[in-house]
Amino acid sequence: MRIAVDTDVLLDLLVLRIAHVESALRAVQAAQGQGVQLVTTACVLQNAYFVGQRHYAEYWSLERWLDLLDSVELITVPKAALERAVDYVDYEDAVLALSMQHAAVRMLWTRNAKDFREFASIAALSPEAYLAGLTT
Amino acid sequence: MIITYDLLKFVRMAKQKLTLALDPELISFGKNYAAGRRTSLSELLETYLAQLRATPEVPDGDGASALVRRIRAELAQGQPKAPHEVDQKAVRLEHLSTKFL
Repeated sequence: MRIAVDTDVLLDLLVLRIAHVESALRAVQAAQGQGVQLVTTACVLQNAYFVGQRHYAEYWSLERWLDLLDSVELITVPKAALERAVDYVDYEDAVLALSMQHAAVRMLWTRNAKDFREFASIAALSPEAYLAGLTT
Repeated sequence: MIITYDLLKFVRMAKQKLTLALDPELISFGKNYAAGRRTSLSELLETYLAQLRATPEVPDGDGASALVRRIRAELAQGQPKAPHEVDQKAVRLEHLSTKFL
């Protein structure tokens, strides 16, 4: 199984955001323990790097960034995703969702799950919700 | 039968009081966080502990990824955590506008 990770959750891990790092870390740990491969797009990674370095400079760690890269595989962004994304309100979210569909990735960790409601084939949920789902 | 079942359920669900010693600032944060979500500090802690119990255990040692081991170690050492959130899309828009316009 593969799970995609959105920018906000990557940032929770990268700069240890106080309200979310623990649940994000537990979700990663649980997923990896079950053989799940975390994936994302290069654009999401670039965004996380940029925002992390620029706005959380004092919490940034190059070693953490490199370890994150080792834990995440890239999915490609097909040209069709860039074309079809214009039909959606949020182009960036649509590119991620359509790239996930192209790669047959069905689950996304994000703290903005409502932004992905238009994509019925994608289960968008927070790391907290993912962990809660493991309990049922 | 229903009454008996409810009684049994009630007995199983009975809560036990617990006295904790916590950082006063953390208590204040917890009460405010709980109030904002129309729950109680007790329920928050109960939920968290239930999640800890239910989450599959993955060793923090060699079995965990380097990322998990590093962050676990940093948190254990008291590494400062970022306290705030930003509108990441607004940040990038501002940057890209400055860079390319």
